[in-house]
Amino acid sequence: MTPPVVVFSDVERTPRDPLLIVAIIAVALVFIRALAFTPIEALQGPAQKILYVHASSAFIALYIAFVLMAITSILYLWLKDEKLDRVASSAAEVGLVFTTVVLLTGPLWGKTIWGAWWTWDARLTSTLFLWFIIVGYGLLRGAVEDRGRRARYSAVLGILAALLVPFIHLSVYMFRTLHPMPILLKPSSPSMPPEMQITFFSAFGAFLLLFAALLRVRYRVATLRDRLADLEQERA
Amino acid sequence: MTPDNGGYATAAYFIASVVYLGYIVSLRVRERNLRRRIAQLSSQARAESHTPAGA
Repeated sequence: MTPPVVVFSDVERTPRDPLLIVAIIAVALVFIRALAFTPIEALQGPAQKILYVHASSAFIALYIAFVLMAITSILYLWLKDEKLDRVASSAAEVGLVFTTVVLLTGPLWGKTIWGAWWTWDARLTSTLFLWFIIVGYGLLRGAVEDRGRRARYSAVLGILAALLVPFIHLSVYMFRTLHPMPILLKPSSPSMPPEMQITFFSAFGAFLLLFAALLRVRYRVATLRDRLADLEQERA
Repeated sequence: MTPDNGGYATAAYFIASVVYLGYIVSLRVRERNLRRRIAQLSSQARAESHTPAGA
């Protein structure tokens, strides 16, 4: 007896992602510009260049990824649309990756400028706390099988986690902290030479593009995961 | 005098590259595996629906 012919549809092919390719190239170009073509700050030395990757990643994680997670979580609780849950979980995971970069690159700058890899000040500690909450968010999603309950629980946790964002932003004003004050995101004009500003804003643009590309791929993964769960349920 | 701490900057950029590229690879692998599993299940379902009853 001949085995049944296995017909693989288009679903098996992982599509090429032009946005992701453009984002990777943009980030690579920014890294080259930052390391090779941006002036060295006289007092801090080359370690100041860590700012371009550290601050851009922090900005996108805190003010874009986690705010998007909170907004879509609120909307999910209201509208109960699964797409919103997928966006929220995707934003949380991509935001976690950006926060990981923040927490890994920050100590490298701290070691050269403060002489210490880590200090338990308000900004650093609250960012680490948020990182742990988002890890917990991921674990929660993995632990609850029922899709509706999983979405509801994680939406509540996502909203609570995002409440830390304004606290993290204001922590440098509210507490005595070693972390530098904002040099760009502040009421007065940015205190940075124009060449460094160009590098910083290019880095921000490139990382924003990377965030959008990663979010898109992660959303696709979430959609496929739900589709697989539906298929497995049908067959059970 | 400007301090000589270029190694820290290079290390930071290297770590960031590893984290971002590692995540991209993990996403692509997850997506590929999910697509493969969905295609398998769909083709199995199709094969079963084409099998005559009692065969």
